[in-house]
Amino acid sequence: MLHIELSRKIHFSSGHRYAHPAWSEEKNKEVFGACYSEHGHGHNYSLDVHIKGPVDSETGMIINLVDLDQILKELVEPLDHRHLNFDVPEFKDKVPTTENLALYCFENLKSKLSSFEALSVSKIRLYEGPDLWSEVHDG
Amino acid sequence: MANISLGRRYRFSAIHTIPQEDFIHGHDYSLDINIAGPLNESGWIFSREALDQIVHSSFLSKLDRSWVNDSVLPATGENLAEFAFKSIQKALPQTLKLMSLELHETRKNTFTVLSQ
Repeated sequence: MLHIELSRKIHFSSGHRYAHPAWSEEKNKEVFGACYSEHGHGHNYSLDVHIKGPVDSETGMIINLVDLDQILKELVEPLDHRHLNFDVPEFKDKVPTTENLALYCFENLKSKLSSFEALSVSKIRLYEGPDLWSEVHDG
Repeated sequence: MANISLGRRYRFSAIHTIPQEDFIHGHDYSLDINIAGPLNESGWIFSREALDQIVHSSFLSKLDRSWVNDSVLPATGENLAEFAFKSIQKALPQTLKLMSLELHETRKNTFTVLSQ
């Protein structure tokens, strides 16, 4: 049985600031440079998700894109037009790096897709911009 | 356990000729790299600034605005991609692994090197 992969993209914009709560101002500035500013800064993120699973013999689909889009919308809603450090509990004490945000998206997407038993998330790629991204897949 | 990698895109321009064409011409190349390693205390795999410095000193400083034939022969995309992969891999700290590298020569052709 062939498994076909489907990928879909969604965009969101968020503010963030790189600051380790346990570090001094000097160390934060040294490690994070311009990313450690008083108010932070923002990005237009782009999230590519890759879903793997069997093609339903009746619908001809892995998953209906309307359903997937609804799941992706719910996934990014807590992030879109928010400040990650202040508005997302996950990043209260964790630096909202591209890597940590990608892990957040991966784990939450897996959880939201858990009711679709035949499907799995083969990977996600989160773009912070065209030149920087983080990719996550299961080990 | 989820596997995570960090990706970064670099750009450079260079000129070359290959025996099959016999014309000297240039490209605006894009170089995409993916590196893997543990998340450190900063919450990232590696500092972007440090990565940029490594890629610049090990590869971009030699190739940008250069005659590719001085670095690899024949100066094909395949050989240039392999040269980039080996140069960058050698310069990275041992805790990091260069998982893959994609050299986009034009919008129509890409050369990919994967780690063994």
